[in-house]
Amino acid sequence: MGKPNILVVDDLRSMRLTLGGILEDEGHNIVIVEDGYLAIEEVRKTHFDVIFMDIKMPGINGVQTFREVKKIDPKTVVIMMTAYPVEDLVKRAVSEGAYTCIYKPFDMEKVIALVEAIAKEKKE
Amino acid sequence: MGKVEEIIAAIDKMAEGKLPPHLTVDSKDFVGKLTESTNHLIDTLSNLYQQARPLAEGDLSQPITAQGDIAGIFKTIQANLRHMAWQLSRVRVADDFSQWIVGMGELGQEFNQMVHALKEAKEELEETREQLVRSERLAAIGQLAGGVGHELRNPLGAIKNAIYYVKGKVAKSELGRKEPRVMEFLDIMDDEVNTSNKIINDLLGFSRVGKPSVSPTRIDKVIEDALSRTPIPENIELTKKLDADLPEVDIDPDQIQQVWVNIIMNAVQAMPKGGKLTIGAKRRGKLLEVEISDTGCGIPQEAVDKIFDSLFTTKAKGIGLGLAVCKAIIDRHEGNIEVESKVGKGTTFIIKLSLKAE
Repeated sequence: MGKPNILVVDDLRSMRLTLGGILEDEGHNIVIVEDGYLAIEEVRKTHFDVIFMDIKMPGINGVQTFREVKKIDPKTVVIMMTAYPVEDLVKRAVSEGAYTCIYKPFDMEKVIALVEAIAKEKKE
Repeated sequence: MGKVEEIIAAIDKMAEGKLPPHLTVDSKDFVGKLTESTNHLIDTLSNLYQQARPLAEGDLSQPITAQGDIAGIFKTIQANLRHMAWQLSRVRVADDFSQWIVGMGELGQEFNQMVHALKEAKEELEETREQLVRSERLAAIGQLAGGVGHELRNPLGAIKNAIYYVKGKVAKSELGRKEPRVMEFLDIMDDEVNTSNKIINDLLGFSRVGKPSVSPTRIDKVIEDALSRTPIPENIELTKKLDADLPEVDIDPDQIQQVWVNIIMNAVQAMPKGGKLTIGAKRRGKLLEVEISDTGCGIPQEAVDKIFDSLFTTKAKGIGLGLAVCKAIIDRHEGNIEVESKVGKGTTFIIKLSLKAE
């Protein structure tokens, strides 16, 4: 299996471009979308190994999107992203099976390590 | 009964403090005159009684017109009571606690003590009101700052990502080799993003200091959550000394997490050239003791006492809110927070929380 393919969902363009760009540079196939509806469409078309999901977005929020996505593709690993330090939404998502939550501004080195750890887990 | 016996009976009755009815005057002789004088006495006493009665009922407005020394005493009593009522109305209407009653023995003393108590109560009330206004203001600032702070974290996140990418590319390039300042300035950009994030964190802390919603919590988990949220640079060595079976403690996990985050961020800031960060948690009798130490620049003795005051900071930049929030949260949990520090050696924060009564 090659490097995990990744979906980045965030309504902030600069976040999509930088997070996506760095991961692409690391060798991942990436798809970036700006809202939950587009994310659901993409998940219907393709299996993503890892999804970075922003929580606060216009339209359906990240947690609602996460639920839909998990119904379509239960094997996908979803990492929630938020600027809010503590959120009930986050806790709910994690209790419902989101892999973890990362807090903006985050340390990209740690995020890359996280993705590698997930890839390793999947192999085993 | 003879007239004289009637008179004696009437006088005896008055001697017992009662008022007899008038006696009939039957003659114009000595006995008749005695009867008239007795009636006179009954009238005088009756009059005094009538004039003094309003006083007994608390009505100070009726004038005492009776003559003589005894009436004079009642007049003095009425004057004293009027004075006291007037002083009280000054307190009530004009908030004037300055004029007290002079004399009037025990009654006067009681009055003065009451006025004094009222004055102290008023001062306490004003202080409480000021505290309330202050905390409401802080809460309002907290809410506003909260919204702004959260918003700021999104662009900061994108900036940090972009710096990461550019640094990576420049490091491997000729530009990076030829122009050392380029890498240096990229590092500066990353540091300042972290500083901005810390300022936001401190500001947000204020919106957090409400009533804690406690539940039994594992303190090691809260510490781990805090660590995952605070970027710790590579040049800082982190050591965790968490006791194996720490009992659960009744805390608000979000608030206490904020405390750890604030202290860890301060520790990291105190060690710009790297150092050691040690976090320990152990049980000490009925208390859970958490220690967070750094090997940073330390805090001078004069500053140590003020360090938990909000807005006190020795840093030229940044607002000293972080530790004030920590103290406020720990106080609300009825715990204790202390700091030990030596300039040039480092600082240790010691937090004690009560364990559940078993």
